[in-house]
Amino acid sequence: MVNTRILASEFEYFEPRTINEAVNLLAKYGQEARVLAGGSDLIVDMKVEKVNPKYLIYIGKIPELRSIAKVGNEVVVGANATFFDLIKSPLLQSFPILLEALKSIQLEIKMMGTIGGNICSAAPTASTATPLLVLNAWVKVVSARGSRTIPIEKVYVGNRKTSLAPDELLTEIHLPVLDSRYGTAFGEIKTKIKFAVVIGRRGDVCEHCRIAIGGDVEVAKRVEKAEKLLEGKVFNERAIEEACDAVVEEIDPDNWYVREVAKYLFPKVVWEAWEKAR
Amino acid sequence: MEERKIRLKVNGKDCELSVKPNELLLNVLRNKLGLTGTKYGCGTGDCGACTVLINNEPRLSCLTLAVTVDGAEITTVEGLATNGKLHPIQEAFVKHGAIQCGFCIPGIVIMAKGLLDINPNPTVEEIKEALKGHLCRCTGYINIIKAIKAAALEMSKG
Repeated sequence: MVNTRILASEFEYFEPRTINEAVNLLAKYGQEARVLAGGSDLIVDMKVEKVNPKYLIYIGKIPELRSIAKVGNEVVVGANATFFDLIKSPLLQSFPILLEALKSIQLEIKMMGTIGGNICSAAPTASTATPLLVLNAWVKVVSARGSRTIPIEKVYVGNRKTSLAPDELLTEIHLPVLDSRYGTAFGEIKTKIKFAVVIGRRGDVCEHCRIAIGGDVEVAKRVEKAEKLLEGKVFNERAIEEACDAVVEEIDPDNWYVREVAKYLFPKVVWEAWEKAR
Repeated sequence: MEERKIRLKVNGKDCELSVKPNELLLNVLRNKLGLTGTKYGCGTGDCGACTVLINNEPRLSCLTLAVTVDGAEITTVEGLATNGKLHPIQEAFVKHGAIQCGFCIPGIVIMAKGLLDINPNPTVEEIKEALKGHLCRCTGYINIIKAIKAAALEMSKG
């Protein structure tokens, strides 16, 4: 039995003041280091000895990682922006789907948890995962070797696994502003199932569709099969039912409860997005 | 592990402390500063008993490394009363019978302070939302919700 009253593990602690300093530390210690942001995931994982880093690099003292700015047709969010920073930012109000997904987070975690931490933990239940997937978000990662950009769906490569190399630091999340004619919706049942949907319509036809699933699944992801079943079709109960079957296929067949709640939730979320589309 | 010097302003008082990087803010408050109002509940971010205000934001002190809050202002339940007079939130908790065993209350009272700073007039739904990170095995929450609502009203009178 672990004692969660204390953090028993020992490590060397660093507090870089710039991104440059941080990536140099990661270049040196990458394999055995972990980046500490809000701590609401990492400190728990360290307490229960799921991870045991030799070096801890705290990025909370790098001011530029907490900025939120509009650049062209995108909103660029610093990786260390907290959930509460996002909720109160005027720039984020044009992404109601993301704000909706943050609603269910407890107040204290809204203050502590960061968007970058949420992405890097790569839990399929992560609050930001499904909205980021349907918003076609992309991230910038920096290392001493240079920088690269990755579309969000290529970040989540497995259960709690990202495609970031050990020496890479996630610095920015880019959110393309959606055309206002698109309808968006988010729905969840606790951490069991989460759906985010973006729909573009023309009359009765679903012209464009993005669907993401998260929750009690291996990894949060887009469900392209379901998207294709809706795109170009007249939007009706039958089309939704077919898409719903494709979505449920993503859930473990033995996980009957989650499959049942998904069948209930998915049509609701898709209808909501459809009704908001213009 | 090598200790580091940090400065904190705890309940209005400046302190300089030496802490190891793996020391949790909760244990620094309780063991080094003797502020045992803040409680250890689950240690994993589920119960909210360890909530304190860090620069006026409610955060979990059991998941916060003390070194990371160097320079911060911390408010614990001990810091709410002024000149021996309970804070209106505390008054409301007493008046509405919102306290039974009391173990979860320091965390909830501090969260309520943080909540009312952000949202001075929360709806019952918003109070329930904010309470979701706090476990109370005794009260059933009803009187806690009433107390926070009443405190908001009292505080709005100035």
